Amino acid sequence: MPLIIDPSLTASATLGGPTSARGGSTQGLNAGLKQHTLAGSAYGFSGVRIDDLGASEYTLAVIAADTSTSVGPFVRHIEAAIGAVLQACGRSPRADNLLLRLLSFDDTVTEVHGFRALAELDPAAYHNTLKAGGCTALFDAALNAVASATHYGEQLVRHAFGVNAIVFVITDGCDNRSRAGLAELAEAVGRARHAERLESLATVLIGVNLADATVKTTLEQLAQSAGFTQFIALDQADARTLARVADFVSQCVSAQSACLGSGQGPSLPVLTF
Amino acid sequence: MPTSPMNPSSVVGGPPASAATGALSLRIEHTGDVVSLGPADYLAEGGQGRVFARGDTAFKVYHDASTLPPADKLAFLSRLQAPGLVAPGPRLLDAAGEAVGFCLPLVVGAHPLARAATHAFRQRHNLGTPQALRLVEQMRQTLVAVHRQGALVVDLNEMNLLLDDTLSAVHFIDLDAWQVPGHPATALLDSVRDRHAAVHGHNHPLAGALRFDTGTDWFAFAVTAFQFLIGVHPYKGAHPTLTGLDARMGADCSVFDLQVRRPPTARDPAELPDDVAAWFRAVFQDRFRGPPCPFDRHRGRTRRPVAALPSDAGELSVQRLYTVPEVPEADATLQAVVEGDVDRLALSPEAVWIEHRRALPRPPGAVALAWLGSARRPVAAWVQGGRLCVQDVDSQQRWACDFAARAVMQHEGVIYALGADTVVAVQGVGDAGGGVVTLRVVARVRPQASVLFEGVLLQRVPGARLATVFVAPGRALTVTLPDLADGEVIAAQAAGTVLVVVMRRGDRLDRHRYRLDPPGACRAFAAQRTAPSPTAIPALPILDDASASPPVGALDSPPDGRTSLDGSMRNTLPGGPPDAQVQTGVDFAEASVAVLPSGLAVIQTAPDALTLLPAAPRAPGERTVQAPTLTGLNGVLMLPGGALGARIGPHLARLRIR
Repeated sequence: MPLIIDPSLTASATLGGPTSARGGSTQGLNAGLKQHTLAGSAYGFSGVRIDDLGASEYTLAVIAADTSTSVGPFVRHIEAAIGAVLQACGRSPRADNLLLRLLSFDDTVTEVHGFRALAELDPAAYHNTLKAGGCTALFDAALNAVASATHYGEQLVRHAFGVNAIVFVITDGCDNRSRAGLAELAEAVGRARHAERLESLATVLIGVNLADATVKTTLEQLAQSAGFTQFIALDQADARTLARVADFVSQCVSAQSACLGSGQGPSLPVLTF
Repeated sequence: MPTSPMNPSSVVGGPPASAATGALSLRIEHTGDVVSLGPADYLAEGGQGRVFARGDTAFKVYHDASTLPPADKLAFLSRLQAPGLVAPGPRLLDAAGEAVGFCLPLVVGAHPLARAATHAFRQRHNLGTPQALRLVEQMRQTLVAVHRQGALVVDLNEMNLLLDDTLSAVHFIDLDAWQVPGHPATALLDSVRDRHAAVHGHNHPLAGALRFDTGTDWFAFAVTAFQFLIGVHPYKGAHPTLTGLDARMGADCSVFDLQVRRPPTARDPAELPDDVAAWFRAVFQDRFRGPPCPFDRHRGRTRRPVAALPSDAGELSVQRLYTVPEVPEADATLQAVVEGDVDRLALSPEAVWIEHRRALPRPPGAVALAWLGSARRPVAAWVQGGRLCVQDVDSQQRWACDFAARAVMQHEGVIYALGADTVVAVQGVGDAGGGVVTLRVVARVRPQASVLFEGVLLQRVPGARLATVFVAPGRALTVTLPDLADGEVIAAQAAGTVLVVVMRRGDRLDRHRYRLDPPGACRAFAAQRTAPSPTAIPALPILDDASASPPVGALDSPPDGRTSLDGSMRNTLPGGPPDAQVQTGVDFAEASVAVLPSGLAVIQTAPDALTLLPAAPRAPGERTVQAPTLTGLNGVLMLPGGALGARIGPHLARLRIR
């Protein structure tokens, strides 16, 4: 299904209220961003305007973090991990070539902020941003993450930018709320892979706190069926585990950015403990 | 933020678990001092190892000690003398006495050049083009110095260069990956790999691998410098059919190609000084692999400046730079000089010289000199028995060449040869042991009535003459000039986009002057008839300008589709047209011209006189400079750095006109 942008629609109309009470201290992070809709989807996305960009090539990074009820005990660790990712990527020599978008998902998908340059983001601003509660709209979040990277990337390519993308979906459970299904997610991932002139797309599904073998198997099958590049299953969700996840995500982003221009995808690092 | 002297591309996250588990005790070779490095000293980690820092010293510790460069390579690197080198220092030994790393200076507060190339960074730090040009000039000077000492950077890229915290100095890091004698380098980033570089032959231990030389270094330098100055890799942006670096670089299709769209964040290469832009274009589009002129002599100038002309009451200083040591000096004449990275090649009536060393007896006829190939070998080219001859004037080795030629000339560092129906740029692959000449066709010519002069080929066609002007290394523009239809061409020369032609018409000599302006229009044209005497050439008023005059010529198949010849300026002498009495001899028939980076054209108009032409039609009028110190003048040229030079008798001199 082709994706059509309708700039007249706003993010708040399509994302289910990103500036709601959950917005916390990140309110205003979407200020100045251009809003996009994704045809056929209830959710859209936002991104910095072409005129406001500051480099000639970009790696688009999207992080979709699960904030369903079960994440409550470690939601602060997830916030800290996101902050750590920002800090680490900020030290990269290609920091000015990175645009980061952050989603949270429970019953709905919330855009904490759209595609923004790293230099504009404050790692400390993520503290107390995420509120846990509700079910797990995993498919909707993953679909929106992938589709937004594809769609925004194609726009940049049309303006002669070099672009690749990497998407991380972090969850502790299976989908139980999405409007979209696995088939639509798989179609979006497949479309992203064949998106015209988007150099490459890496997709990583990270399962945390997967003590239940059934959940782990289900997520593994989901990653395989949807065509994710990599699936990582972690039994724990403590501070140390999520710190290492942050380190891994940073390295993946750095690797993806380093391969920009080569026409190839990165060799993603391996997460070890 | 302190930044380590190692490739920062892989620096992410905090210290790895291994770094956090305890101190690393190492002994510094020679001094015997023991240094204990712990998590507090950890700085970064890359593919080769970890970097720790303490005070003003960094410590690079290899993951695998067997990959540490040999001691003689580290010693060679530590002896290199050039600004901005973060060179390896004493080795670090573990408890068993095995070398596992080395010390090196710490660059504090550094910014990777990769980051400084972005528009966003430059805005945040108020880093403008003049300052960027100064930094690139530092890089150029360092690379020249490194090459002189026998080393090659090889992997010269935006990740291996750091700017200091004040953005006033650039540092070369990761020297342990450089190529030094006996220790070949094997790898470099794909983004700076020259797709046209030679590979080692099948008998070489590195058969099939790229053969690195100064030419590959200058290519990598050009890519890196361009990316820093313009904000986009020269082979990126969008092309309708060619995608990917391999396709674009293989086809010499850079952002200078009109079909390539640059991202809106990229700066316009037209903002660069003309000679800087011309060098980039020659490297990216025409496979030129020689070094550039200095980058910092033109800061603040725009692409099409209006030169300020000296007044008639100004003064001239002549500074001798070089004298061809031919004896007797009174008979010596410096006929040609070609600057190299270190030495210069010179031609006199008797010999070819490398600086002050007589390298080769002068070959017969016209001789062209150049530094050829990526190895930058000094060669002379001439025509003998109807064949093109190319010889290394240092090693005396002839280069293999099979080309039926009628004439040769050297122009802006490139040798051109006129064949039966082509003009070719002479290129080649070789070293001191000899080489093979390769030829690149730059223009098609009519078999008859073609004459090759320095920088220009003139062909007679019905109702006009075609002038093929070699505006950049290996690149030519052809214009049709109907006003040259009649008469005999006595002399001609082109420099940059200025063309001077001296015609004999009966007993009269006319000097025609043209200015082609490839990105826009051909602005200036003048025909100056002979003066009553060579010592009384008046300053000629400009009577018409380009916009008011009818076109005098039309471009023949402009290669970039946007060049046109749209105007003329005509000068006539006061008092009416000259007549037969004005024959002034061969001196007036010279057609030597140089064009400075400002656009100011300097034309020799007498044995002791120069005429200065403004860069733009509406600039203040031309001036004539005449002085006894110019006596013996036999040509003007642009020196490296954009200064005005002249050949005066046996001397090469720098001219300053105030």
